[in-house]
Amino acid sequence: MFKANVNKSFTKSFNTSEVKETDLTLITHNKFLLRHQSKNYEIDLVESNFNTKTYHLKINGNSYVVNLEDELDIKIAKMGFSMINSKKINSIISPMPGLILSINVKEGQKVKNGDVLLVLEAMKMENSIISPKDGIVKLISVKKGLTVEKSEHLIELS
Amino acid sequence: MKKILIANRGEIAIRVMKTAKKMGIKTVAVFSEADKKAPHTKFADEAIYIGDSPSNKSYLLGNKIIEVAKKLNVDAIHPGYGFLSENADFAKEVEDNNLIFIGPKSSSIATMGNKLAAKEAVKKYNIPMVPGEDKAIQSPKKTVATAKKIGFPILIKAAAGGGGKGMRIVYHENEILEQLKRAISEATSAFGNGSVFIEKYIESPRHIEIQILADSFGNVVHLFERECSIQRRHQKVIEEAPSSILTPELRKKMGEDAIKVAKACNYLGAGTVEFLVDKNLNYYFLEMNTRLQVEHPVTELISGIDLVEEQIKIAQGKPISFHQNELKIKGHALELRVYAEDSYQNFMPSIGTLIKYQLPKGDGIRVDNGFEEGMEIPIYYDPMLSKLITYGKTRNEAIQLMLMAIKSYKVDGIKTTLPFGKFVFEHVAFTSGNFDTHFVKKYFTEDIIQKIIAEESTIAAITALKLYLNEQKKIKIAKIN
Repeated sequence: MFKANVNKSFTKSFNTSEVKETDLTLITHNKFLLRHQSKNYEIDLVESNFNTKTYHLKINGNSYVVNLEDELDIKIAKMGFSMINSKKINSIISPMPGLILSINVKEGQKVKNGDVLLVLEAMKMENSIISPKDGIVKLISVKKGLTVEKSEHLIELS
Repeated sequence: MKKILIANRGEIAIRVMKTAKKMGIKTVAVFSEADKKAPHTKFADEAIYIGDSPSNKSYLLGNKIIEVAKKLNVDAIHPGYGFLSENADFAKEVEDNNLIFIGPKSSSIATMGNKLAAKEAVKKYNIPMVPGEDKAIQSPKKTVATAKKIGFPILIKAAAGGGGKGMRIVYHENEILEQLKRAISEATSAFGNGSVFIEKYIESPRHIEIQILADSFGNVVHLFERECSIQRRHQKVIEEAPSSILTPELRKKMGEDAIKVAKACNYLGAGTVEFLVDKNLNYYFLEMNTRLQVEHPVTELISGIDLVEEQIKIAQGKPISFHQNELKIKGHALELRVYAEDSYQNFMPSIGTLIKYQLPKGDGIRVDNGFEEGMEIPIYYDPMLSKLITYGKTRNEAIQLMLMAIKSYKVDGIKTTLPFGKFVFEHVAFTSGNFDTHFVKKYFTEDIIQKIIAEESTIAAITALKLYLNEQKKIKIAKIN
């Protein structure tokens, strides 16, 4: 029994017997062909680590980082030692580097799902960052005119 | 003309230099702080620093560029596309400094650069136009009333706009004020002119444009059409020539109208007349772009004409090197713009370092590229890395070659529009030719994207497990030994 976490957003569990029917052949150095349910996929292996069971692959030019867990890992996780904790989306983080053009809300303000929280300019496009839920603006960590990096904390909702 | 300066960066700077070199003309590159090591600076015969990274401190500094041009004894300036290419004041400054501007006269740029002035100029030529206002918006309240009269959806457009900036579709009355604000703000920051107007939004249109050339002897020819309907954020991503829907009669008629538009503004050089075509093949004049277009290579491939060479010859005062009746469409060409964007995340800019960057090669494959391995993607400019262009005897041949080229185009470190390209070129709506500017909205939906990601994630999971089990087996054998 194995569990695979892909890009920290997709999980799949399977028995080793399930993948017996699937052929994986090495084409050239770090390039593989996987035949799954009669479809062919070309896969590039970017990086792998046997000890941490981590595999960075490219399929159709898209990056996938797979983290495998075997039965022991799963058991440990079940006992509550798992490092992955599920968080509700209260933190609004910057999806890309850019410039804060305007902040449309104030701390303490009630917002609705879909309300424009702030406007971020990147590569000459203005992007409205909208609220993912109904809530209250708890904290605003940025100011108008500020340049932010990708994944920087912008606004905290509650 | 012995030496030209290219007032641009990236792939287009290199593209122009290639033709200049072929013609025995020396080239000068200009660069900003962020572009110190960029390929276009190395490709040129000379390269000169013009300022800080933000474009308003470098590539948009017309006076500075003219100053360095004079210092280096340059004869002519090629503006490329974007930046100063459609800036009438810059063209005028260049002329006033006794340098040649490789492009139209500043007066033509001024007329066509303002969509409202352009509408006015072509009015008398009986060219079909989109219903709407031909004046800039004065009061938002009045606009709501006008919008209701025209009927929703309506399109807000910047009079000075281009490249989809300052453009907003409005479906409902209650969205109009917020969208108007955004459009005016975007237009002001992008073009320094916040004047916007509204037009009826044509549903399911195709975006088809005609390439024209005009010389100083009064000759104007058209080099057929480019189909540019596959867009995201009102910006083109995929173009082709010829279009699969134009009949020879319609092509001829649109070509003739495009020539009339060029004549309406006393055009000189290479230009593009854009039309919207509805599902009944009615066409409407949209605007004229007074520069070399990003997507010009598809026209070059099907016509066999080097457009930059013609531009330079026209600027030298020579006539166009061929006649209309000598031109024939040969084969089919496709172009995919490779942007540093995450196709699966609403085409968000993807910034980082090109850890791996390998271009596809082969017959019928052309890559107009401005980047190399190890380079960082600067956040200051348009995120286009390159244009991947394929050419085949037939449309299908070009599509198959494109799919192969996408596969062998290797990029690590950032996300690109290559996966989106694969999706489009494999999609039945595209292969059948039955698509419009809503392709992304109709077919590249969140559901479909999630399905693709789920499928690829499953494949990744299986592959990882197979690789892990293989390694485990090897280690066990090693232990036994």
